[in-house]
Amino acid sequence: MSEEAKKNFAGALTARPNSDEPKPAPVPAVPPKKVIIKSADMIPDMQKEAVDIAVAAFEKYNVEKDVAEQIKKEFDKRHGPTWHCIVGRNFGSYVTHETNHFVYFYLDQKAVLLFKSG
Amino acid sequence: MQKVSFLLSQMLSITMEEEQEPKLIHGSKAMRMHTPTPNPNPSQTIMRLASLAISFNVRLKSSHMPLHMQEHALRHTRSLFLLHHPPSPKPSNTLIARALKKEFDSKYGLAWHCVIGNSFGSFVSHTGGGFIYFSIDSLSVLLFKTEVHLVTQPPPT
Repeated sequence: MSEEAKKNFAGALTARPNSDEPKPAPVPAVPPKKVIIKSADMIPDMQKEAVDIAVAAFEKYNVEKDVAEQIKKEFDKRHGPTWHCIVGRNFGSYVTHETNHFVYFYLDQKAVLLFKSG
Repeated sequence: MQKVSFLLSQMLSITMEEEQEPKLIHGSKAMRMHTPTPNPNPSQTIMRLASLAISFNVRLKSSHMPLHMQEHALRHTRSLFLLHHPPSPKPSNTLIARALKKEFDSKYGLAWHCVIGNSFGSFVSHTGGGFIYFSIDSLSVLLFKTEVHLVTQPPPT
């Protein structure tokens, strides 16, 4: 069977919705966020956890302070107090943190600073 | 004139807050703490702080801090801006944050944290009387304190 025939045959099997039927809404493919760990003093598992929580927070909220609140509270709950979180596009910082409890990463265009102190 | 009255009312409300006796919560009990003697003439300090804010182009957004420390924060930040911000080069927010944090660490004990920028949101925990958030020119400044205990010896292995 020629290549052309194969194509036609395969095409014949393709189910096409009837023009009368409503077309299902295409599920928007959410591209995975670009993650760059800029600086970390934290075990890799906890870093991954921070990124995952941040991704979920960005999906849920649009406002930076709400994203920061979600991340901070989640880490307080999972790893004990006291965590602090800064989320934004443009900021510089200087903080004191507990050993092994600091991460600073980019999620697309936003930076996330998460650390434990106190 | 409107700006002055806004700043004054904001600072007055902060002073009123501070003059209430702070409470230390332990479970369901509220223990009263010793309150330092209030400034003999707080209205003078408020006026000075208000005029500072206007001359330094500062908007005090939120504060839980004694008036003299607020004044110190504003004065020191402005001096750092003049030092690190000549009109042409791009400001180094991290450099200023570092200097302000270290100044407060040395004057008021560990551990202070500072964030400076024009686009960020935050959610932090701070000790009583150790928080200020203000804008200066086009930048926002967050300065807060947490209670830390330095480890003098490494933990046994």
